[in-house]
Amino acid sequence: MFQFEIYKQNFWRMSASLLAVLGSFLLGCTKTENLHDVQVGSFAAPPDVVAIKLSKYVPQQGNGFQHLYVSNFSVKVENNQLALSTSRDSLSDSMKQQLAADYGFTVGSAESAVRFFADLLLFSLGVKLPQQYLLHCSSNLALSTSNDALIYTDTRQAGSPQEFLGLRDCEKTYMGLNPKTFDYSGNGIPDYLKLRCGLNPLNKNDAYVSTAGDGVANIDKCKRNVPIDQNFFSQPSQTFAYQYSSQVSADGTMEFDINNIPILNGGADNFIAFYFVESDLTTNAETLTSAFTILKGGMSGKTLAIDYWGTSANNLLNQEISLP
Amino acid sequence: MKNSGRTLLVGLSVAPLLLACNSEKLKPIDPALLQVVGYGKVDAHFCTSPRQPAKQNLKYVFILDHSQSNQATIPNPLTPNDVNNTDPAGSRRFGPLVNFISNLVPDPNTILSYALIDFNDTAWQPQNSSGFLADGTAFVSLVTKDWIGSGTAANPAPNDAGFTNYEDALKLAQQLIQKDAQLSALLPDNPPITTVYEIIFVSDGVPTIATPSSSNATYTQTFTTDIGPVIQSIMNLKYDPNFGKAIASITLNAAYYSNGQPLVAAQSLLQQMAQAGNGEFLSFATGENILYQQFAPPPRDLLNLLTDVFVENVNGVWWDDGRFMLDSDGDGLPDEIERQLGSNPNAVDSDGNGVSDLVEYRTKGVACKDPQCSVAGRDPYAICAGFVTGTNPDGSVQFSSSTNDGLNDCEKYVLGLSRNSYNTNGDLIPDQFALKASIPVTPGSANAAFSDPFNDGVSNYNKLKLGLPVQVSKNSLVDFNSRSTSLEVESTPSPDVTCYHLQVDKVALALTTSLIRIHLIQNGAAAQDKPVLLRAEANVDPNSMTANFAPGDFK
Repeated sequence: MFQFEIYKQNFWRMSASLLAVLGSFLLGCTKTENLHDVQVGSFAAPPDVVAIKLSKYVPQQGNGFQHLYVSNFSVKVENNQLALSTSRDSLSDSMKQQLAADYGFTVGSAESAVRFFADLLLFSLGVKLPQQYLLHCSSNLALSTSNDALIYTDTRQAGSPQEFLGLRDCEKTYMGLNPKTFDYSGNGIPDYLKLRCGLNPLNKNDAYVSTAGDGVANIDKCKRNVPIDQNFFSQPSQTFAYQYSSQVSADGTMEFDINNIPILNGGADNFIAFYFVESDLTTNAETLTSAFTILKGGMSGKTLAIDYWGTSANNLLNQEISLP
Repeated sequence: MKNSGRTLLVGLSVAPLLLACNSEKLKPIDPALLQVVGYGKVDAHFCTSPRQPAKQNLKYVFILDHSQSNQATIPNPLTPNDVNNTDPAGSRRFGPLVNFISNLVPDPNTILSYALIDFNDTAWQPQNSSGFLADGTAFVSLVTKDWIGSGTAANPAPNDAGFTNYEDALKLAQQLIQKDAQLSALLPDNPPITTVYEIIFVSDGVPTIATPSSSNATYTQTFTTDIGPVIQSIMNLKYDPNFGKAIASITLNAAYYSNGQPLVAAQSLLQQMAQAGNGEFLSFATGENILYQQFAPPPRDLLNLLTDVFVENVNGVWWDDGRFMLDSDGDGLPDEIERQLGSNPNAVDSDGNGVSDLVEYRTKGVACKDPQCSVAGRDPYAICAGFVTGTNPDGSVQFSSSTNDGLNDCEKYVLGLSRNSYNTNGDLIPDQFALKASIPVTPGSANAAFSDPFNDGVSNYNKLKLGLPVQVSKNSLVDFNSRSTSLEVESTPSPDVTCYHLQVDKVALALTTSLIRIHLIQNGAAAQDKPVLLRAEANVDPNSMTANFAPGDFK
């Protein structure tokens, strides 16, 4: 196919799904003249990457597969570069340092300024140091009723505190979301991921528009961990975007290959989050399953083979996947 | 929506692509019918707006204890262990409340109102007040009267008597909020300005009441049986399918004030209540005033994010038959169609009745009531009399405009659109732009924008971005270039502001000096969903064939 040749010329390996996104938008099988040129303005050096082969996925009984989100929470594409986020909360270390004076943030923790409130939320809402004393999170609303958070013991920090990547009930209440559900607007993206990707968790449609006008829906950029407000066909976005592909195995399970996942520090302490969104085949009600894994160093160029974690009703959510 | 296939994961998207290949069956539109004189470019620089305070209603519900234990009189013989003399003159409960309300700094983005609930054996709103008062001064006077009670301004003597019925007080608060939210949900504000309800529950003792069956026995309400369920139903108001959308959040705070040794039972109950209500519990020791300001919610200064950008060629229209045509006056009706209809191709509103030719045509099938578009024969739009703001020098009617999307209030009204939102159906496309492009605009039609009625692989929304017609299949167009768009982050002057460079190429023009309009849509990052529209216009420069935009152009 002609599109493939273009991509080969530009050295960008595109997954089948990305190609479909591009193709359906621009081509409709008839013409090719509108194909975007890769932008030459800014240039990003190719990062170290890992690949993940996620096998043996089956939706829960009565459910259909809806979305898979894989995201390296330790890195963020910022100013066309890969920035480290030690706190894994979508605020890079350099951003946190910039905001430290106004908000009291530190780089180590996702909730570094106010107990039980995510730094990311404080920044989004603009609740700075002088007003922070007015925020309260009562202890019985400090957890997540919908179980959509990733909670882990952070051995990097003194005293190994529990880190919480998600939205607590009190945060959801404060934001006007519903603690009982992981996806307030019902559009298939967990509220916390929307906030991370620069989408408003209350808005139903902003995930499906293409803010950058390149025809790639914001949700698809969110899945690939690249900024929604940047041309997807620019060199940096192409360099950093994940490539998803999937196939159904002979035994009826699904296998997902996620290639080109950028890592920093050779992968050491990189936090990879996994979310499956499924929907009930009759009621359309959404369910979530989630997991995470923390990489070790020396992973560059390697492929992680992972079996789907949700083998029983007890281990669908917040599962830590141990790597050999 | 999630099933519409727009997410295009994996092989799912291959099917529509293959189907779209049946283009040989479509009869192409003769390129000669497209009035394309050339293609222009758009080059725009703009930034997101600085943070802005979230506009919201903030409604306080103060629930004050009026039981006998406030007074120095001996405790009720039925509750010999109760505290007494906690606030005989009301200076701990009422005084600081008056101060708090009087000293609130006016904030144009916070619309305040207040309600007072008193309770002892039962609960009530004093002075026959009902619901919320928006007038701070009137509320202060209400509180002051309640404070003075049977005394004088110099020596207030609040009417404290009886037991302490928490359950009834909370039930009254629930009714109050439910009624208020029901009314707010009916307001034609789309999306509504939501309300933060801040309940502040103030008491000095445990909820002991007289047993209804016997006057000399008492019953102490418990959290599990009596109080918790009421708080739960208060918190659940937000998730009511009918009026929950009017509620941003509900918080129940609790304050305990004591005289001498605090009652542990009362303290822990109030603490439990605040926990269930996602609020704060504070305890005030002997003589301490209640610090109401400690319960105020923090102001929110929302980060603005770019949500969408639309580029409109004001002087070019894709007409219903799939032809691209010149529209000199930019009203959305092509010149050729205007000549057929008898309206003026050089006037947006040919008969001067205040409603544009396009809106009249779309709602009535004619651009003017009178075939010659005479002023005398025009439809006066009497139903819009309330929106008239004046008459222009040329005799045309001027209507108010509550939004900046280009449709005035009368036009919005006759189209069945919200006068308070640039984007009635929530698909993020400005109403005026969507109307011109024949994309549904009425409430509930948001999904139409993302559908692909011709199965040509391009949704209506994407056609709008590509400059393609939504009325025909993409495959019926030959020798027509669709737009290409590039958006890049240009700079980030501060963590709060992002500046962009937008370049659009291959903008089809029916006139070399066409007017180009850019619609910028921003939304707060979280906590409220009110997308805001900014617009800018610039003509294509016939030499460079480019329309240039600078940050200051967007309004």
